[in-house]
Amino acid sequence: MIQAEATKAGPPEAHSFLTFYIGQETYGVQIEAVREIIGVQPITPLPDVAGHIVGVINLRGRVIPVMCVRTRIGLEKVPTTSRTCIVVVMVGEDTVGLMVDTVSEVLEIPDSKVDSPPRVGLGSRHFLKGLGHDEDSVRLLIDLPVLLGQPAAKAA
Amino acid sequence: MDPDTQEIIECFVLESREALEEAELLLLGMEGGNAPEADLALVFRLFHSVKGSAGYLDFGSVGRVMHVAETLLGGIQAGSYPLSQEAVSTFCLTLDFLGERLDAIAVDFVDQGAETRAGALVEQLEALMGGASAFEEPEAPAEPAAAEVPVSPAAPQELSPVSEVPKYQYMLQCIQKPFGSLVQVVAHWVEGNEAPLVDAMAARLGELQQALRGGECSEVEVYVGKLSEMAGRIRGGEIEASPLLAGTFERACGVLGEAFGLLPSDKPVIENLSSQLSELSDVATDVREMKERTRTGALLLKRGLLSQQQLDQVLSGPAPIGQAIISRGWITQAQLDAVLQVQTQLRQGKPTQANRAGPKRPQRSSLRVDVRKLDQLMDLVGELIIAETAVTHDTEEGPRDLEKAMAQLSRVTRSLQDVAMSLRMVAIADTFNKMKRLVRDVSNKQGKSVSLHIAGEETEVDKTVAEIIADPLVHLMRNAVDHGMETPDERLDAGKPAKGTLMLEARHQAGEIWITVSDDGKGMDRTRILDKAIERGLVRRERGEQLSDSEVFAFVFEPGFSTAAAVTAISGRGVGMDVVKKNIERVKGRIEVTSVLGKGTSFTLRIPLTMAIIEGMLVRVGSSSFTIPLLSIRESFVIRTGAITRLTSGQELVRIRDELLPVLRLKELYQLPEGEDDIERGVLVVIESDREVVCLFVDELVGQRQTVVKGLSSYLGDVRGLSGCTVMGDGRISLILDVAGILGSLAA
Repeated sequence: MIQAEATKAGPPEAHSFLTFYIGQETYGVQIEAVREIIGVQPITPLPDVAGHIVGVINLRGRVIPVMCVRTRIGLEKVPTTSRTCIVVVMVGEDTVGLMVDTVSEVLEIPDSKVDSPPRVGLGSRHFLKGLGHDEDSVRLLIDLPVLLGQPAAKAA
Repeated sequence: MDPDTQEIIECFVLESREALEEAELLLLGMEGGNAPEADLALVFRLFHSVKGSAGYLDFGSVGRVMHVAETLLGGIQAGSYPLSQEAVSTFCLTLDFLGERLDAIAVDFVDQGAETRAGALVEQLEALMGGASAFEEPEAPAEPAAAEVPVSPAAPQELSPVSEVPKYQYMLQCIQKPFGSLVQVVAHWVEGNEAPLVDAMAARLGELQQALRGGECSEVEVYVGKLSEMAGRIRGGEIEASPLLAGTFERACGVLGEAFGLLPSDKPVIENLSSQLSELSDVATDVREMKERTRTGALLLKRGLLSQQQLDQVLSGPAPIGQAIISRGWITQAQLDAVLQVQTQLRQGKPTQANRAGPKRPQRSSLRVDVRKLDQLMDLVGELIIAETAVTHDTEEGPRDLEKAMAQLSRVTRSLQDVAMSLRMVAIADTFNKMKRLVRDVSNKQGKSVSLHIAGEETEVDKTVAEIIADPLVHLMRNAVDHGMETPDERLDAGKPAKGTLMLEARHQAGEIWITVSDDGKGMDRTRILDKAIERGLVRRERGEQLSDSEVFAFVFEPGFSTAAAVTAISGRGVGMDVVKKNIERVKGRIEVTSVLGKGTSFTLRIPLTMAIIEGMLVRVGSSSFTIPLLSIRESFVIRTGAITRLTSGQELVRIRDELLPVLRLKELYQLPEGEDDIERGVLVVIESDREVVCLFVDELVGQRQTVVKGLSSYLGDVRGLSGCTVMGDGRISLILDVAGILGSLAA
């Protein structure tokens, strides 16, 4: 459907995504939202917050919260490795760190290669905005505002 | 709405708010009827600027009211009407109305729903002029409401014999009639009917020129001459009478209106004006060029004409919209009701607008900063870079030099911190000045005679602090006049001067700012307050008898403490007092009350200089560190296991002197993975907030620190028990405990 619209709209448009791995899957976030990528730093845990909020880090004097994308999407927690990265993204007024297994590359995906996520079988993956595909692989494109969700404080 | 227009409106709101505040101060100074000419002229100019911009932006009610107010003021300047108490009051009402409209405009970007109130106000103002508006200007927006205003009937009735009237006043009177017609003609032209009126216009301009001849204002005369010449050329068919040209004439009328209004005032004002006029006449001469100007350009030009100073303001910074509530805070009850009424009207008038508005726009907040401070900042940044270079590059000379360079670096860093902090500081004068009006209104309404003394208004406080204390101050001041002060008769009976004295004072004291509100009224009655507290079950009688005076007076801060039955008995204090206390606590401040029955009452707000830096105690639990605000810590000590009593619920209690306090283990509270369990090997810190006290068990006290507070991310929202965090010297983060929050959640 999106494909059809894109061809109708004239020259094919493309967007760039920063891709990263979580487990076996490749995910992507729009490059515009990404501020920087940093290695794992000492994280100060916070009491009384949702499980996927790992804590806060000191990013050159700014204190920003860090979310573990792995636990956010319902996967098992794994110990951090030397390849673990924190992708600092800015959504609206909020700056948040996303902890991911490892960062892959910046990729330009034409809109014509992006499909809407399937309507069935999504389960907890409703934060997907689309599926970017080429010959041999599929990249799960994340809808950042949905992934970050609203209040991270634990309910009740 | 396109962003440009939105920005222009935001500028308008900001400017007008400043004009409003300035005008109010000046007006308050005019009470008693003696007003310096210069002050009157200034207020006139302020009114005029607001009116002009409002007219351009099509803010009907504002434009209309300000126009009539301006006319009245012009008349007062010219000596046609007296500057009565009533006039000042009406002007104050006008400013209130303006404030309300500005608040509404800041949100909706239109001026709607206040036509009725505007009409009432216009009538009030016109009543002061004997029911006639002297002349009508085109800038009063061309909408139905404005059309109802009678246009240019008779000039002021009671003309004194010409010989006694100064020349310019006589001239002014001669001008009024042709000018009124001219304005009408131009207005018609603007509305679309053109050709037949050009004759009339030229004729009026001729009359004006005649009237001005021999006056003291050659600039105005030349200007009118130019207009007249232009009208002639239109009539002769040399220039096409386009709508654009109509706009030029309309603006020209505005400028003339300003000029005529200012005629009676001091010479310097006229000279100042003349430079503006010559600027305009250049513009007016080149009509063709005018055609190319964009709408926005024309506005800026017009703004520049209204007031150069304001144009500078437009250019010098973004417009903050906030503080709407704060300015609401200082209106009287009657006005409050009026606001509510206006709000209802607004809601009824345009429900769709409110719905369409969607998510609230984030409010930008801006701050005026002394340029000297910025220069200082730049200098220091320069020094910082030099110092940095010294440390990173010039260290071949050996460790001695490095040491020196480091010392320099740390010195510069500290000064930089000081300057950066000072950028957030504002003088408290603005907050204090708003109180003058409040005291005047409340005391007039109550038939009390109160003189307000303000001291230390130059004291600087953090911007946040200034904003947050505004509301509490309003409550305190209003209560002081309303309930603390006696009526003049009562005061005389009590052997005091009939006029009460209210002191409002700010000063720095021990790293805090102290704001004192003290009156010489009837004071608070300890016995009655105590009785009331006992009756409400806040304290038992035996305990109550032992309380100190200030502890007893502190009961007035209990929510809803003052009821109707107690109003006379305890001076009614308590209305909103719990709000006062809450606000002050939000900025980590405290309130102290002292009062002597029959002599007066004094409230002292003690607020830390800034919320951005607090004195904190760094504590450690396992590998985590936390900061406890020093203000919340009573004491700390190490105990033996024997001192602990364990309840069946598992709650531990510790006996300190004659108090049994609950023990709270931070490790358990925050479910930390590591930390000391043996109570003998850690430290108990007694923390308190309100009247709740607990012992917090931590591994060790690391030390006292000046702590720069950083908010946790807004993304996280409020995290229970934390008020923020701070970055320590080694780059790690220490969480700042919100003592009130922790104790509150325990008590619940």
